[in-house]
Amino acid sequence: MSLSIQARVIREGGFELNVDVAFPDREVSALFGASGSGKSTILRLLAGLDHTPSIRVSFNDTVWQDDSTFVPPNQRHIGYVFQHLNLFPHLSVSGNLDYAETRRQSGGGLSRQDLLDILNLSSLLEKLPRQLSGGEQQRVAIARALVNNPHVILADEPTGNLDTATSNEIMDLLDVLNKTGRTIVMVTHEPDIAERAKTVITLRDGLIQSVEQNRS
Amino acid sequence: MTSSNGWIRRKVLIAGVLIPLFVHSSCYADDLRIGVASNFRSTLEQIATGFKLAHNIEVEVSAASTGALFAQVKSGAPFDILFAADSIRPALLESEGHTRLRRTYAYGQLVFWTPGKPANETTLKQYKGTMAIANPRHAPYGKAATDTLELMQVKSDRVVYGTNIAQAFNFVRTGNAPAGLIALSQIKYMNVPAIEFWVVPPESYAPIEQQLVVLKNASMNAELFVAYTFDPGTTRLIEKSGYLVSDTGNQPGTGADR
Amino acid sequence: MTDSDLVSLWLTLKLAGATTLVLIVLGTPLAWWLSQRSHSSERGWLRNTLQNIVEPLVALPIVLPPTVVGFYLLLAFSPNNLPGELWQSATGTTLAFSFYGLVVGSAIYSLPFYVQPLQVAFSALQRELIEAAATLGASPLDRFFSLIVPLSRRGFIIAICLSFAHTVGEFGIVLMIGGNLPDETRVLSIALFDHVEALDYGKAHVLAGGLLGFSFVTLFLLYAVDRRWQNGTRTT
Repeated sequence: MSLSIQARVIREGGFELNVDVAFPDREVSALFGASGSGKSTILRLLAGLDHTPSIRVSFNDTVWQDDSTFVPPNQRHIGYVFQHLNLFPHLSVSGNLDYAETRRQSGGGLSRQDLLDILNLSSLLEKLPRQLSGGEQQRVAIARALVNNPHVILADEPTGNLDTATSNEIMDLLDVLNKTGRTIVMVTHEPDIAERAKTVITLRDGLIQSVEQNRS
Repeated sequence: MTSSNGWIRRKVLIAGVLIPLFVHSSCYADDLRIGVASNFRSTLEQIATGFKLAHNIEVEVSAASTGALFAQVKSGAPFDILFAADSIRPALLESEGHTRLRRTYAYGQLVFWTPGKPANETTLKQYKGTMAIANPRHAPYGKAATDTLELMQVKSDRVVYGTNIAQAFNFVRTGNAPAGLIALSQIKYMNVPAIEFWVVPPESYAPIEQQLVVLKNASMNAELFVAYTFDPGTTRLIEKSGYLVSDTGNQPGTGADR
Repeated sequence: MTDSDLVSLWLTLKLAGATTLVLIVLGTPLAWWLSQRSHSSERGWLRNTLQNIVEPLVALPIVLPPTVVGFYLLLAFSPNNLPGELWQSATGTTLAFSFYGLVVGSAIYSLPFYVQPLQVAFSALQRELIEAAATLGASPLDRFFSLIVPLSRRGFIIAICLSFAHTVGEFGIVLMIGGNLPDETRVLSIALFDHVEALDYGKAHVLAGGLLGFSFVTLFLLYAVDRRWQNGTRTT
């Protein structure tokens, strides 16, 4: 059981990506590599954000994409943490979270209040994104992606904007979520972050260099 | 060449160029400039061609709506003669002192046109559909049309106005209006088959009097052109184009007021 | 203002309102489609080519004399030609000399004034915001109303105001296809023209002055609201 992808595509700029990889279900996996290696592209393809033909993506028994099917991102039960902040500027923190909650709900996982507590967001609820610092925006973005308890969490450099202490807190949060049954794939270029994942897949120039298992 | 000769030569050259510019040229200009209402333009161009051949005087014709020509003349446009499509504007120009002669040169004739169907007095009286006419408020053919509709008691569904007789004609020609009251001159120009139109008897409407004016400062050749316009050969041409020509010649402003 | 001029005023507002509504419904998806340019050279080829043709077509009414548009419309509306024939068999009347015909003509004529500001606003939207909404479970239609519309508010306001005001001032097309019917197609600009042609300058002044004043006030307010917006919200 896994989240798997087989893709051979030419990315913008002419670089080829050629991968066949399965991320184990209900585990934390890391896509590790230098920038430009293709890791963010894989994450986007897993989410269906770039509708590229001739690739195969499936999650356990469900086919998300193949030659005859394409399930659009809004129908895949995913939570995506983007590398660059994209909170909705016309909504408050609370509004951003509402947006996610009113569109999808599934049981299990953490409640909204839990997330607010862990990420220390309760005092920021009425603020607009432009009134928040970079780190605060990052935490809100993470909360928004997780608040409707998606089955699969795709995180692109989730600790990118954050100091070490907060980074550790985020990783702890992901561990907690994983224990409730979520499959997590995160993209990172930081070795110590990658080390906290169960499976580390290293990419280089569009190809998989290695797949390593860490002690959990 | 001594310097004194050169100096004289230069003076003569300068005089030769400057003096003619200062002499008021109106009486000496050969060319005639004529402004004509659009619906009479094709006929006037034929008259002008004949005049050129007969008198060897150049004629320049500008066509526009009577309203536009009227405005241009008031702003000082250098026309010698204006051929208007009505008698109101010429009368106004005369009362404001812009003219030295005003005369009726033609009477417009109204026709009932139904493309593709026979037209006569009966079909006009019984006509129920959309009727295109020129705007009665400011176009001479329009007023004639409403006079006729009233006299014949035509109960048409809807009467649409073209800004001028040309637009009314176009509404019928394109098929948007199945019938219209338009100008005989247009019918003749477009070679419309005789069965499709009926000439409305002129006594059904107030005359569509078209008048010309010779402007105050016009060239002396202007009167020559006017005389040519009333020449029997020319009046035959005008009648053939679809107008009636009054045989009362020189009287200013006959016809009803609007 | 005389009674008939008041009717013209009402007709003008009705025409501008109806045209703007038509443009909102038809012009919004068009503006959206034009704003989405494919970056991949192979996949988006056909779409990009179509967009390259449609974009100048949309802009045409800005440079074409209204008489050209009116000329072709009169031909198209004629029951002797296909569009006019279809309309006549469906409704029993002609498109020419009707309010509906004016709406068609005005919608074509004001199209770029609606589409272009909106297209600009749409292109300025960050793609990542829309992607985020998709990952949160929002369908394309949902994303449009919950995210794209609020974030493009400024573009919508400009597009609506401009196309409304532009239709109020429309003359050439109405002149060509309207037929000057007092209760249906004699809009203010035509009434004004009528007064001038009939040498009734007193009435003409009233209408001309009114139209000038209306246009100025509309634009003044539009700019003022826009300035307040820019200062108050630094979002898009």
